[in-house]
Amino acid sequence: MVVSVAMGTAIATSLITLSLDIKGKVSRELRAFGANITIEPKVEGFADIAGQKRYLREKDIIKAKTIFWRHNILGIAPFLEEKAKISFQDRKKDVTIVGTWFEKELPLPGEKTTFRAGVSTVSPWWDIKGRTPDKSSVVLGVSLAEELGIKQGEEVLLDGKPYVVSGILSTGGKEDEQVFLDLDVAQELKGLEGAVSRVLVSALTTPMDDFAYKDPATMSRKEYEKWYCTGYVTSIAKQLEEVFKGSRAKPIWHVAETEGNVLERLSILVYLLTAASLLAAALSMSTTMAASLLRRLDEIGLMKSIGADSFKISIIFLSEAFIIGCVGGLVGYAISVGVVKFIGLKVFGAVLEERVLLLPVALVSALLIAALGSLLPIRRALRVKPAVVLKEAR
Amino acid sequence: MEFISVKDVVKEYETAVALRGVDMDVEKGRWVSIVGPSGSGKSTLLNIIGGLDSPTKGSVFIDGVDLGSLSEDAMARFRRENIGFVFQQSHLVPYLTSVENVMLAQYFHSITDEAEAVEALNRVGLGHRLHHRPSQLSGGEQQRVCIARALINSPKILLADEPTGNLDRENTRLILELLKKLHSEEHFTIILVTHDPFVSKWAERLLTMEDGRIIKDEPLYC
Amino acid sequence: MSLFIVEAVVIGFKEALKLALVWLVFSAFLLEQNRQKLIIPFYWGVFLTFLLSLVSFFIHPDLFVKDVFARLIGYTFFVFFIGSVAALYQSSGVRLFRFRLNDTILRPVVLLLTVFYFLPDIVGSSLFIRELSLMKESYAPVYVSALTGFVVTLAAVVAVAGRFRRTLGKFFGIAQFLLFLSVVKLLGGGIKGFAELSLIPSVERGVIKFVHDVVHQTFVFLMVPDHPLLRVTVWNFIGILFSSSFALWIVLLVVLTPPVMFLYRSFTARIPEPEGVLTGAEKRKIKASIKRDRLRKAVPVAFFVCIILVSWFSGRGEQVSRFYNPKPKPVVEDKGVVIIPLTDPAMDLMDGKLHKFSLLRGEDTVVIIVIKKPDGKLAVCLDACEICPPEGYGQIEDNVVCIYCRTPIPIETLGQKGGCNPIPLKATMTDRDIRIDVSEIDRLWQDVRAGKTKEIVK
Repeated sequence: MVVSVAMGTAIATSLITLSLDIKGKVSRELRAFGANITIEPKVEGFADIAGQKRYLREKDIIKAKTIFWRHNILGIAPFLEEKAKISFQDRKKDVTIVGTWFEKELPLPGEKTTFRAGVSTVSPWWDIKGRTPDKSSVVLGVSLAEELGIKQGEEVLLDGKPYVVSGILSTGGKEDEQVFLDLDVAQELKGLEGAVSRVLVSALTTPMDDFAYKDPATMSRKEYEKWYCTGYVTSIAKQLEEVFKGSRAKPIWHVAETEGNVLERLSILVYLLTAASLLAAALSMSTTMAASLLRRLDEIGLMKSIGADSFKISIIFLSEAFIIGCVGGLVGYAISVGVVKFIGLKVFGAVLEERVLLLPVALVSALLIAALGSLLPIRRALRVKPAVVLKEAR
Repeated sequence: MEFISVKDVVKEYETAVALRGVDMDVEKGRWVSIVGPSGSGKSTLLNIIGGLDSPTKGSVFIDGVDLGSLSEDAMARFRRENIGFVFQQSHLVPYLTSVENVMLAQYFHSITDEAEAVEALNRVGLGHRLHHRPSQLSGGEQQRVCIARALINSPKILLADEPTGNLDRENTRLILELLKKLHSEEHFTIILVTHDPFVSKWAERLLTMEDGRIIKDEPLYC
Repeated sequence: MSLFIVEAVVIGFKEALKLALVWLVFSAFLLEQNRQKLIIPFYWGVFLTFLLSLVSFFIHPDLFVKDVFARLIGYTFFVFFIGSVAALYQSSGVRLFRFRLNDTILRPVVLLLTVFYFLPDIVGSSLFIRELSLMKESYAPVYVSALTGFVVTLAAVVAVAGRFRRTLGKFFGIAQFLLFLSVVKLLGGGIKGFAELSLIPSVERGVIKFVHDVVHQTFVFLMVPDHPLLRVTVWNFIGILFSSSFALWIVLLVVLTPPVMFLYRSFTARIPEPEGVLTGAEKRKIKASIKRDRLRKAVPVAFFVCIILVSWFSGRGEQVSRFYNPKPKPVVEDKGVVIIPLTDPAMDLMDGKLHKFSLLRGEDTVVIIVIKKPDGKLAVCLDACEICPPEGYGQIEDNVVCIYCRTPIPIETLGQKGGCNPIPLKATMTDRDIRIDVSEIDRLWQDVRAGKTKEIVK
């Protein structure tokens, strides 16, 4: 019985802890996931069909901090992606080289403060072993480095120019196959001064709702004001498009949407699961309790013949259930702390904080299981006729 | 009305009839024995008087209270204040000591009082076996615990169903002497069911049952 | 529109539920005490309350009167709570007073207490309903809430008119009854919401203020020299007394000690030996009935302890995340300047939480927000953005959020213009307080009111 109560409590408590923590964690993680808007050159006209490449202007980047939603721009990073030949000793390969800012303080126009931009503000999960690149060094993706047998500190040639490998990057994505340079260096190498092929932006946004999909042209003045003043990812993207010359800004949907809806659904699911696990535990408690009471029917008959009313008999068995509930609750809480830690480490790579506050929750749910599970069997057992059991016991 | 009054009680089971119309009155403070062959319905009658079983027909009055009118819990309340039971099997709670078994009856009645329970065990001559479990006691000693338990709440009636059925002659005599002593001190009414003539003759009145009826009712003078 | 109706229903339901609950327990209590006649002055009290609230409904009371009623709710809680504490002591054997009131004296007392108990809530609610119907320009909320109230009360009365009251009465002594009244007040005392539990923070603030005053007065009395060094060290120690967590503990201590002591006594106190020649069984029976009575009387008290713990607990849970929107604290101008102290007995501006202050300017209440930014500086702004209607901001974790459009705003950008950010105010910081020119507030507020700030919307 203790086991079933403990299991039920453990599941319930872990689920609640996880749902509380995941909510915070996921929304923080998603924010850390950063980039939710991508800005690329607009593709139109004859030149594009012919395959001529277009670029954005590096000098437009800082304008992102001048739009209406400038305060909600949390991070921004430019990328210049080009093809190049890498050679190391006798090995050669065609690779994508990417020029970007890893971390750069941008002076804000007309203000004394600066704004921190770069990859670390839009993709904070990038893991670089070693240093970020400077004028004479590059960072290699981990797969590429392994394939060519290159180690940190060795020298490679990019389109014939020598660079020191200052670090190895692993992201788990296509970046592992690429070579990263400082944006200026890449522009110089490719003769594309001031050009950028893509800009990622991380913006703090209002979750999308039905209102967000309305067409501003059909809105009343009041609605339009509200819409204008609401930081939907679409509104921010639209404004960014206006300041980047020849650009198209698109929300990266999966991130923006997750923030709004999935969390809600997740928590409903968690509550349902919690209720189900409590119910299951109560049922299993109930069957074990019923079996144990069946074995003790003659004891109940005896108590009745001494003059016990159902209330006092119930009290005796309920207090047993109470002790079981307390022990089960404590054990369950201990298990849930372990489970939560384990899941935290596995899923988030971080220890989720355990909540002492949940101890009473665990205890109450355990007692609830115990009480629910034993009330019915006790009621049934109380129906026994003392004369019958006492005779059978002979 | 008499203290205990049984009126035309019939008890039918699915396959058999245990009582076929029993009428019986018992005065307060008497010791009555009921004898008869097994299956004559004497235990059933005792259970019905004690409210452990309900009659198919007829009624039982104790001290003016119609047992048939009481709900199950009201019956339990009535029982704990008025009736003490001693069975053939000792029916003690196996994991409780003698004194705890007595205190259990106190708990169901009102609240526990250990000093009083110890005193009660002293009176039945078990002062030296207070903290033994039933399995560590002899049959005679177990029955003494049962008597102490049955009498702890000062009942008006003691119902005993073959209390000495499992005991040898010597222990039987000791138990009966104990009952006689307590009966003379506290004046409760005893109804004792037995098939042993040696036991039945300790009573003041002897009822003989056969086939669900009382066939003989005689006073005893001892 | 439907929201108005829902709100009206909730209010009617709440007031009726309170009334029905109190009626039920009071009549059960009187039944047990065998003083059923005292229910008559209770009915008169309720009648009088309704009459008075009707009056307040039709004459337009000003802000001051409203404020008085809002405060009265807190006071009634305290009066009944202190009464119950005294009665708890009394019933646990400490003789505080020794008299038995007869019905002649009790009748006006019951009447007055009934009015005192119900008046603030019902007047508050009726004023709220009045405002609802003014807003909606229809009397529907009035009818709806009155109807709900009537139905609920009737249902409650019918449902429990029977023998249930007899059992219920066994659980209530005078102490338990008074405690029950204060719990009902605590849970349902607010004017608007159903269970506001707003009394605990206000009690907390009261305690801090009290401690502050006592300490301050003691200093003045002892004529402690105002030496800066002494001030700093001493205040560092005394500061602990003013921290809100300390005050919370004090409140818990004050509120929980009497009931817990009562519970402890009812479970441990020796039961007196019954007198007279009785058998052991009879003695035990008398003792058991005393014990049962004690246990019954302990039930409402234990219930109260649970309520307090749960509300404290859920209050803590609220703070973890969720939307945080503090009530504005009123401030006044002094020679054209508004001064907000950095630390104050009831709050600490540097705690990273959103703080709001309200200033009366003509007919408007202008709200100012202050919050510590991650860089340690304070941002001082109007509680309004340039475009949205000035509904103000709340806080969710690391962001403030515009209540109107739900746009999150990073706290580090507060104090800068633009976006949906709150309109920054120029303020002078000293090491003790923030000073804001009222002319600055007025100028910016006029812009907001006139919609001038909205001109950037194309």
